[in-house]
Amino acid sequence: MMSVVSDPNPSPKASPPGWVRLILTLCASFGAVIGALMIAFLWGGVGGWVGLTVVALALIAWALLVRFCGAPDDFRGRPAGRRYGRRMAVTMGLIYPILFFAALWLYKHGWASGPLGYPIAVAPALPLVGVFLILQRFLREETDEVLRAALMAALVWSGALTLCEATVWGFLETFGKAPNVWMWAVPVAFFAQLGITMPLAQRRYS
Amino acid sequence: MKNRLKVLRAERGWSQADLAERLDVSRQSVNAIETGKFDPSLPLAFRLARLFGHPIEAIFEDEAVG
Repeated sequence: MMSVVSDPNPSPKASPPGWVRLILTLCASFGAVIGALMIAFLWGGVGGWVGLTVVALALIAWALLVRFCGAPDDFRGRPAGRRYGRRMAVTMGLIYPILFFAALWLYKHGWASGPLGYPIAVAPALPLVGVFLILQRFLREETDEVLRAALMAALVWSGALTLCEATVWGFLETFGKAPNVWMWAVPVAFFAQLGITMPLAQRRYS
Repeated sequence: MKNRLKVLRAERGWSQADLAERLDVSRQSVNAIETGKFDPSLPLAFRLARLFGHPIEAIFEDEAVG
């Protein structure tokens, strides 16, 4: 027989409130995608610089999310989560922009025309590949079962959503009803959707 | 899965954060287990049993039997 006893010392709620976290998550996720697409398609004009600004704002939103929403009961407040945050910050906040703009500069100055074009083209993809390794390492290091279960669910939802979107877009493209989208947009869309599905997955357990 | 975690925790005057710290899990995990939204693994269930000094079946209710 289960009895109910009032909690003598209820745990404080994590702050800031959920709606602030949601807005920051949406800004960080969609800002990164929209900004990256603007840079890719509109580089050389005003649109490219607007895209760069949007990406910078998305990075600020992401930094605020990590800094102020990392309550101790949240994955960002735990040791594995902090290591994950540091690795992500170095990989996507430092290495990725350096490789991206270096590759763009080399391409614009004609260095990518010969065989050297292959490593130049692959270089910006390496940090994105690295993010999957960072995720794998986080799952191995994090001992909290609920956080791991939530992340696994979020990864499955994001993967399924991204594959569905890519499949539908691919057929639209085949039938000439949609413009070509470069394949590198697929992992970007995946990670943007992970920013949405992770809080949703965590809600199942809160 | 129903359990007596909240009762056992309250008897000791621990908050969810206190219990989470003792188990090295997040407070969200303690809350999810207490409210039956998440079933812990066997190793975590054993850790809970050791911490409270009760056998697992005295903490968690087997709904198939109950």
